[in-house]
Amino acid sequence: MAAIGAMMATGGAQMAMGAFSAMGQLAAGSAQKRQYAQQARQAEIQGRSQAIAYKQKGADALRNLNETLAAIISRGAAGGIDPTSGSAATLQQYAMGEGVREFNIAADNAVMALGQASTQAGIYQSAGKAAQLSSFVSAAGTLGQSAYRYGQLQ
Amino acid sequence: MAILPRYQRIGLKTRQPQQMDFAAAREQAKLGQNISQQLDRMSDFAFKKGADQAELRGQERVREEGALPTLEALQQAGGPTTIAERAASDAANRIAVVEVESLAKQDMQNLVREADKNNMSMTAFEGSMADIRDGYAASLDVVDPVAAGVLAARLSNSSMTYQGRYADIASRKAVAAAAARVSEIVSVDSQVILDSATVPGATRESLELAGQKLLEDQLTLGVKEKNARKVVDSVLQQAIRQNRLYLFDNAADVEQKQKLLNEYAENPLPGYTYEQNRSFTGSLESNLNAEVRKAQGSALDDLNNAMVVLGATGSPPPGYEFDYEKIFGIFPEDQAVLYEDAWLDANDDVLNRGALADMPPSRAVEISEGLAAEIATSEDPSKAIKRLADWNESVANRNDALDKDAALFVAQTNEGVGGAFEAIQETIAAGNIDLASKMLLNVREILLVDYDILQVPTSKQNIMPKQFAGQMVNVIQSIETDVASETFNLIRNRLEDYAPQFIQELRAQGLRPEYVQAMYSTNAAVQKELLDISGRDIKEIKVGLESTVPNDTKTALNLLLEDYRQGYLAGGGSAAEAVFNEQYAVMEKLALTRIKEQGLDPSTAAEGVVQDIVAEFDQVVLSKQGKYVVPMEFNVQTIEDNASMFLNEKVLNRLDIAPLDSAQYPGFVDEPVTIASLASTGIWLNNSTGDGLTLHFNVNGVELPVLTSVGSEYEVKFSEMSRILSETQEAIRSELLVVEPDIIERAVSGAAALAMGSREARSQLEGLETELTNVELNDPTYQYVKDYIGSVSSAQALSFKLQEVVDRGFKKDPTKSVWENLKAQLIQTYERK
Repeated sequence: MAAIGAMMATGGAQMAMGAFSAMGQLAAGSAQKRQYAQQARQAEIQGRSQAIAYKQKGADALRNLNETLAAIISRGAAGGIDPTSGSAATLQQYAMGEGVREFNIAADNAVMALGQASTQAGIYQSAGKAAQLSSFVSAAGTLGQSAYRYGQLQ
Repeated sequence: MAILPRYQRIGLKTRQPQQMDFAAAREQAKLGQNISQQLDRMSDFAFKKGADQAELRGQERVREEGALPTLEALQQAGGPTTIAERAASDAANRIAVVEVESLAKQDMQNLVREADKNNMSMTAFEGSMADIRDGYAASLDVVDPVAAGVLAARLSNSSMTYQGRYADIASRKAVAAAAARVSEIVSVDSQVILDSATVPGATRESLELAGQKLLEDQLTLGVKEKNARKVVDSVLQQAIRQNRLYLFDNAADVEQKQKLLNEYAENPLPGYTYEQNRSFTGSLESNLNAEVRKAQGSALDDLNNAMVVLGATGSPPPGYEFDYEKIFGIFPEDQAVLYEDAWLDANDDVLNRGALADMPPSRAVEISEGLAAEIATSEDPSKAIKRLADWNESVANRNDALDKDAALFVAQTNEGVGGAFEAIQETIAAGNIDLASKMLLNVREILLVDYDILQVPTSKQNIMPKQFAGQMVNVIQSIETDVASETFNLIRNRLEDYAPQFIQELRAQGLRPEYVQAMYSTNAAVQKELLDISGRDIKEIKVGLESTVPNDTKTALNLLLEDYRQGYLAGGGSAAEAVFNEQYAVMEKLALTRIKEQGLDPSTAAEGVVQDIVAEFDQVVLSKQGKYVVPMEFNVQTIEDNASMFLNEKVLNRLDIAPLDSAQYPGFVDEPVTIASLASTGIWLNNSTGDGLTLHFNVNGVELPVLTSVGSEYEVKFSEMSRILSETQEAIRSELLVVEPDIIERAVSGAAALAMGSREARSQLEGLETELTNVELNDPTYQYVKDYIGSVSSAQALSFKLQEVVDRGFKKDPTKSVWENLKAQLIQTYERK
């Protein structure tokens, strides 16, 4: 043990250990970058998934609109009401307004979900680069420290 | 009326914006934080590095500027602000504290030593210690009060330690001083008692009284009674012993001492065991016996010495008298009677024999024989034997003294001569060399007479005692160079024929070779040159000369001195070799000096030097009959002729020549053979002093000195050669008249006839030779004739030989006219032929 301790105390050992540490830091940086890349992809997938859900909601709104309009027309006609005027027309206009609004909301939400996901993915990509850069800096610092210690022990 | 449906909403509402996960912003923020953290880390690194360097700079500054100066500088700048200054301040503080503390401790140690050495009082010591402690703390207070506080605390501890140490030292000293005072008092008082034990009148009772007083004094001083009594007992033990020794040593006589010994035996020493007392009295008895023996020895030595002096000089030593009372007091009566008889006999002997100091050897031998004869007829043979042995020893001692330093012996045994030497010394000391020389010549006359009586060999006849000669050497060598020449000439002239011997005696006692040669020289310039180079080393003289010059000079000297060297060394042995080497060394030095200073070439310098130093270098005889150098004052041819004439059997027969040692050379067993050998092959060589010749046998090429009857080498001085030869020939001639002169005429006529070619002459001469051989020949003339007949091979040679006979041997002969006629006849005959 004493021999190992003595060997560890030499400048060369310090330098070697510093190099190993720097390499570890670089590896950690790369891994973190990869992690962020995967998170970015996941964010994009999640955004697209949400956009699809929002598109489904828009279709649901249009279907609801159709059903409402059909009911108004059918019931007015049955009741003798002119479906193109009066309250039937108003109700139809209303239904059209609400239905379209909901559809637009769903469409906007889908766009928003995609945009947000894209933004998140971009953030994750940037974070990955920053993390890798940070690991470079740490590795450089570690190597510098090792060089200093090596110099001190010479 | 029909009821119309109304549009029922499905409830779709506008989508609310979902909560966004702003991960990018978060990550950006994290990135920003991360960048910020990393930059912070890097900044930290840089800062730490900078801080480290700043610390090093700060520490470096302390090292370069010193702790206290750095602190003072920081203090003046308003305190440390930067990291470097703080580091410098921290380091300087730490160092300053240590430095100042170290200095303070050093001073404290010095103070302890100084205080120990000077016996400083404790108060003064504490004051000085406080000065050191406070002074050093205050010195740091200005720059760093905190450090000063730490220092003050540390110094306080140190000062306490050193104060404690000095307190121990002072305490030990005080105790030791007190003990020393008591010890000194006791020691002095004890010594007083011991001293009083060895003064007249001291007794055991008076010593014991003093001991009691010493005991009381000690008790007063606080010494424990047991210890005090122990000291007193010890002192009294010694004092009484000393007192007894003193009384014994100062006893009037042996009888008194014996009485004291008896008293001591009855009354033992206090504090001593039986064995110690026995040893003490035994020691005194031994002393008494030794004293008696010493007195006996002294008296006997005095008596023997007196008898020796009496025998040698005829009178006892000054102040000596035979002390009958003393002799009979210390010796048993029978011994004392013997000594008295010996003294009386010695006086009788002197009256009967005379003094040994001026007794000829023959007289000494005669006395010895007489004493030997007495042994047979004496009533007391042992006494007679002793008298003979004593006499022989006295004679041997005298001869030994004469051999070592004959002049000293005469000076010691002849008051007149001894006094004369003292007077000469005083005269020299007064600077009167002239008078001293005359006095020396007078002493020489006396000495030569004594030497003649004592038959001292010529080579041993020194005139100055050796010690006296040594003093003369110092006098000579201390003469100023400027006046040396004049003084040397004066000495040489005043000493006349003694001058050469005088110089040789000085040389033997260490006179420098240059001075020796200067004293021989008559040339003032050469004398000065010699004295000038006497203090110089030849190596120094050679400096600056070309490398070939020394060898060239030696070669030139060797060439000039070859014959001289052969002749000089042939006779003198190691003494002559030493003299020659000295002469050579002086000549070499002088020649090199002249080459260097006068620019002479080696050949010229060598010739000049040889002429100046050994002018007799060409006065050399190298012949079958002699190898020697003749001094300048003698004619070399005359000396050679005289030396040759000595080698005649008739002459040799009259000389004091002992036969060659028969044991070593059985062929020379008797005198005739020895003489015949010398006549035919004898050779003359220089004596060791160069002023005469010594005769040698030539046995198979080996030269053996001829000895006289007394064992010394047979030597003839150049100055005496003619005289001795003339006297010998005179003696021979005195016997010549009894011989028929016609033998000579017949011999010469025959020789002349033979030389002229007569055939009958040979047989006539052979008959004559036989006749001469059978005749008892006491005259060298006959031997000459005989020799000439045997050796002549031509008329001319015969003529020369006859010329020699006429010229050398018979100038004063009454028959000279006969020889003259013969010679004339012979020459005429030869001329006719």
